[in-house]
Amino acid sequence: MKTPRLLLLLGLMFILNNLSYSQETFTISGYIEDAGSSEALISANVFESNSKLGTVSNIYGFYSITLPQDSVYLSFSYIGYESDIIGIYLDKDVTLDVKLNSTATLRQVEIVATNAVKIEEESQMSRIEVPIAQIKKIPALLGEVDVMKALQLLPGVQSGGEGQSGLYVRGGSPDQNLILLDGVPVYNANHLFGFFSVFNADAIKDVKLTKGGYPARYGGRLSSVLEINMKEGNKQEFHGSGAIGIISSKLSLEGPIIKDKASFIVSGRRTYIDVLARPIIKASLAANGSEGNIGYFFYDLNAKVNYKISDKDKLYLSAYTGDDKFFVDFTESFEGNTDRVVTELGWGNFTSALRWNHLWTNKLFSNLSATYTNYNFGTLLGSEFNATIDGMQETENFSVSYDSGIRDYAARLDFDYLPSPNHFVRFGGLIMQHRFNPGIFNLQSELSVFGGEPITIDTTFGQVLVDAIEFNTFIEDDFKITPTLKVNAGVHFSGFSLEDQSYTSVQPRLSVRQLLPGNVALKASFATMRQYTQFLTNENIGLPWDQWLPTTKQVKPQDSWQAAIGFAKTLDEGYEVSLEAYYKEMDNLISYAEGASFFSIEPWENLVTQGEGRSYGAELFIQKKNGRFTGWLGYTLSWSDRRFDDKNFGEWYSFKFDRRHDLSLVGIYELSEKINFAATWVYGTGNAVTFAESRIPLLRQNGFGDYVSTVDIFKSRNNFRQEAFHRLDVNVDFIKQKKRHKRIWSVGAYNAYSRKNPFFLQLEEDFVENGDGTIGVETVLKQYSLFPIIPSVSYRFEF
Amino acid sequence: MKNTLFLAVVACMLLTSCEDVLVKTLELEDFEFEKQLAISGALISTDDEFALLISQNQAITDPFDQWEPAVEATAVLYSGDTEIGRPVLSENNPEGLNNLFLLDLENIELEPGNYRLEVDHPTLGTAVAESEIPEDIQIDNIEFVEDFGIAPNFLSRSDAILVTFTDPPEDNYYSLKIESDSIISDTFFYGMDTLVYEYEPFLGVDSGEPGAQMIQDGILFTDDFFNGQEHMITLYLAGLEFEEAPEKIIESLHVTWDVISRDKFEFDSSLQLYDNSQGFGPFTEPVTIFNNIEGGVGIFSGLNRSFYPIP
Repeated sequence: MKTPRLLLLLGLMFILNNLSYSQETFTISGYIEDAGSSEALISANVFESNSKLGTVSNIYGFYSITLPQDSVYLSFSYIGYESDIIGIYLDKDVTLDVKLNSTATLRQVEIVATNAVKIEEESQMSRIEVPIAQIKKIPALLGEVDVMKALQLLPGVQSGGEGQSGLYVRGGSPDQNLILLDGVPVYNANHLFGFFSVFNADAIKDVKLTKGGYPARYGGRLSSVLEINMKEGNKQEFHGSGAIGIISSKLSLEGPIIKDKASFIVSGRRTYIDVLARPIIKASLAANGSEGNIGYFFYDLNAKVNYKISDKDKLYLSAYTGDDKFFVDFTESFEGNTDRVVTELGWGNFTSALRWNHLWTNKLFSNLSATYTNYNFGTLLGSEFNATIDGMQETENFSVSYDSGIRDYAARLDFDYLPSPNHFVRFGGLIMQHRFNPGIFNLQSELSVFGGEPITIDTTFGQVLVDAIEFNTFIEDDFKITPTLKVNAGVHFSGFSLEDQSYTSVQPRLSVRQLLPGNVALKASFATMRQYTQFLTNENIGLPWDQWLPTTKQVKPQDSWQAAIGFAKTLDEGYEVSLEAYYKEMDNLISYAEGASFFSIEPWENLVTQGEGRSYGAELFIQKKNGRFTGWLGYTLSWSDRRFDDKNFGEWYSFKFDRRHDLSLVGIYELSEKINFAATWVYGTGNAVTFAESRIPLLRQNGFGDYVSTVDIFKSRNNFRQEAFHRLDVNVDFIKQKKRHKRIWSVGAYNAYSRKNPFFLQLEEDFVENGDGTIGVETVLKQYSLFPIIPSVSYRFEF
Repeated sequence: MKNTLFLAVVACMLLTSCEDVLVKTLELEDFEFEKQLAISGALISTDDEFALLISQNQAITDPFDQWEPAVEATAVLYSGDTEIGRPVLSENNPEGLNNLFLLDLENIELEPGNYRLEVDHPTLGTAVAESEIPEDIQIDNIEFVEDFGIAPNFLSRSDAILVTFTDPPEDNYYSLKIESDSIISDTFFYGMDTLVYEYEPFLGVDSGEPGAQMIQDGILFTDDFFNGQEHMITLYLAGLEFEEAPEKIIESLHVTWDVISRDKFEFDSSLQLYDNSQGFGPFTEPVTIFNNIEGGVGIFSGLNRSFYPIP
C-alpha cells in the first residue's frame, strides 16, 4: 500500500509545482557537443541566470529547458570545457545546439571548468564521475590505464586485493555491481585473472559510478551501477591515438564517415607476451626434443558508428569484444611415435547495442535500444598418442572440454520528459531474455590397440541450460519543490520469470536535497534493490570459471535496502567536499556452502547457501577539480558482515572485505605544459581471512574400531586479519607537441617503495638449527606478496 | 637536462626492481592463540565402556608429532544431576587405544536422557558439555533386493538394502550404515591358489536419500523430509560387483542403526565436510568443525545404537 500512496503524493506535488509556472512559457532545447569532435557532452550544465533555473544534458547530449517569456541568458558549462553564455529574447520555442570548446585545446592545465554542475546542486547523492582525462593520468600497474582501478581510489569503493580490478562497493561483492557499457551489461570485466579490466580507456568518453541513492531508472544489482559510455567518434576530422606499453599496445582511430552526420571509432588493444616469448619457448621445447607452444594473451576491440538521420533522429551501433586465452600445445616424438598434450583456457565477452534516439517534442526525448551480451568460459584438456608397436598401430586420443556462460538479448525503451525547469521526468522499461549455461562437459575418447577397431566415446553431460525473462519498468522525477528543496523520487518495478517460478518486486526510491545556509547541501536517500542473477564464486579466489547463475525456485533473488545521509559543499578554492554515512542490509546473498567447491560434481543449487549481510560506514571525499594541482582524498570508515544459517554456526562474521579504514590520496600536478606528475597512495585495513589457529586430536570410529586423527580448527570464519595494505604509485608524463602529432612518454612505478603487501598466507616448515647443533623443523606462518616495485614505461601518441 | 632526468628515473627504477623478485615471503609472529582443553567422546548405548579423549589444542604453528593426553585432567560424567562415574586415564589399554580416559559401563545402563560431562584441569580450567542419548527408534523392516537399480552416485546397477522405520514427530537425527564382519575366504574356489585369508570387503554404499550426507559405509540424515512419518531408506551396495565373492559378503552384512543426538549429527556432518574438502586448498570454502564444549573445544555426544542382521 505504501507505494501507491507515494505515487499519489508525487503526482500531487507534480501538479502543484507546475501550477506555479502557469504563465506563458517557451522551450529552448538542443544538443550540447564538443566543438572539435561533435561528441555529445553528458550531464553538461545549463543555467539561466535571471530565473536561477537550470537543467543538465542527458547521456546523448540533449537538453531542454522551459522558461517564461523574457530575455534569458543561458550559461552552458561542462567539466573540462570553456563555458558559453548565450542571451536571447524568448518569445517562441527555440532549438539551440551548443558546441563547447575543450580547455585542453586552450590551456593544458585546466581539467575542470569552474562553473560545472556543483555537488550541492544535485539531488543525487553517492554518485561520482571521474573525468576520463584524469583517469588517464593516474599511475597504473605496468602503465596500463585502468578505469576500474581508478574507481577503487574513490571512497566507498575497495579493491579485493593486490592488483585486482574488482570493485567492492559499500560492503557488496563485485557481482552486485551493474556494469553497463553503452547500456549493455558486461558480465566479466576482468582480464588476466582480474589484474586488468576489459575497458580500454582510449575508447571511453564517460565513467559514472552510483553507489547508493539509486534513481528509479537503475535496477538489477544490489550495490552499484557503473555506467561507461564509449566515444562516438569525431564527426569533424580524422584522428587517432595509440600506445606502446610493456605488456600491450593499443590503437584507436576515429573520424567522420559523413561530416557532421556520421562518424566511427575503432579501438583495439592486445598483449604480446605470447608473441615475444614464442621463440624462447620453441627453442626451450626443441632442446628437450619437443615442439609446440605455450602462451597467454588478451585483446579488446571496441567499435562504434553513429548516424544523424535528421534533427530528431540519431542512430548508434556499438560493439565490444574481448577474450583471454591461455594455451599449451606441445608434442613429444620418439622413434616415430608421438605424444601430444593440449590445454586451452579461454573466456571473453561480446556486447553490442543498437540505439535509436528520437525527439518527439522539444520536451520529450526517447531512446530505444536493442542489446546483446554474451560471456563464455571454455576449457579443453586433450592428449593424442600415436605409436606403432610391433608393426601395429596404437592410438589413444582423449579430450574433455567444459563450457559455461550467460547470454542475454534485451530491448529497452527510455523517455526523458522535461515539462518545466523544475522537473526532469524519466520513465521506461526493459525486457531481457537470459540463457544461463551453468556448465557442460564434453568427453571424447578414441582407443585403438594392436591395430584393432577403435573404441570411441563421445558424450556430453552437465547441468541443464536455463532460460529466463527479466523485465522492469520505472518512473522517476527529479524535481525542485522550493529553491532549496530538491527531490528525486520514483519507483522501479521488476520481475523474473523461469519455467516453473516467477518473482516480482516493487522498489521505491527517494533522494532529497535541502540547501542549508552557506550553500551546504544536506542530502538523504533511501533505495531498495533486487538482483535476479547470481555470481557463484568463492571468497578465497576469484576465477574466470566462476559462474553467473539464475534465481531459481530453490535459490531466491537477492534483495537490499540502503539509507544514506550526508553533506556536500563546494569551497571557494575549487574544492568539493562531501561527507556521507550509509547503512545497507542485504538478504538472500549467495555463497558456496561450507566445504563446497567448483570441483564438486553436484548440481550447483546443492552447493550454495543463502544468507544475509549488512554494511555501514561513513565516507569523506575532498576533491580539487581545477588548477595546476588536482586530485582527491577519499576516506572510508566501514563495517561489513555476513550471516548464513549453515556457516559459522549461524553467527555473524566479518565479510572478507570488511575494511575498517580505507584511505586514498590522488594528486596530479601539471608542472608545465610538457610535464605532468601524478601520484597515488592507498591504505587499507587487511582483509579478513579464515585461518585455522589451532589443531586438536579427535577420537573417531570406523569399521575397524577407534582411532585418533587431528583436525585444524578456527573459532569463527574470517578470524584472522592480514596486515594492512598500503602502496605508493607514481607516474611522470613527458609531453611533446610535434608537427603532426603529440607524443607522450610515461614513466612510472607501481608500489614505489616496494611494500610487501599481503596476497595470501601459508603455513610452511622451515629447517632450524637446534641448540645442540642438530637440525629441527619449525612451522612458520608466511605471508606472500605479489608485486614489489614494478617500473613501467609507455609511449603514447595522438594525432 | 630533461633527457638526463628521464634516463636517471628509468635507471633507478630498473635497478631497484632487480633487487626483488616477484614473490616475497614475510615471516609473521605467532598470532594470539588460547590454550584450551580438547575433548572428544561419545556415549554409545550398547558399549560397555565410555572412551574419552582429553588433550589440549595446539597452536597451528607448533610442531606436531603426536597428540598427548592432558594427564592432570579429571573428568566426571553425570546423568541428569547424578554422577555416573569418573573416566580415568588409561595409558596402556590392551583392548584399545592408549591414553584415553575410560569409564567402565558394564554395570551401568546408559538410559536415553541427558548427560553432562565436566572436565577440570589445573591450568586449562574447566570445560563442560551436555548432550543426550536419544530414545531408541526401531527399524520396522529390512529387505535385500538383488539388482535393484542404478546407484545415483556410482552410476552402476546395484543390489540394495531397503530399511523402513517410523519417525517420531519430534526432530530426529540418524546414522545408517551397512557394515560387514570380516570374511574368511579360501581362494581355491575364487582364485588361482589355495590361500586362505581374512578381509574386510569394500561395500561402496550409495544412496539418493534427499538431504543425506554420505559417510563411510552409510549415510547421515535428519527427518526434515519425512518428520513423523513412516519412511524407507534405500542403500545401494554399489561396490559389491568388484568383489570376488558377493554372496559371502552379503552373508556377512549387518545394519548399524544409530539414533544420534543433534550434537553428534552436527559434528559428524562438519567432520565429513572437512574430510571431503581436504586437498582443494583455496578453491574450497573452509569448514567450521562443530564444537559443543563450553570452555574448551571438541565434541561430547550420545547415540542410541542397534544392530540388525540382513534377512
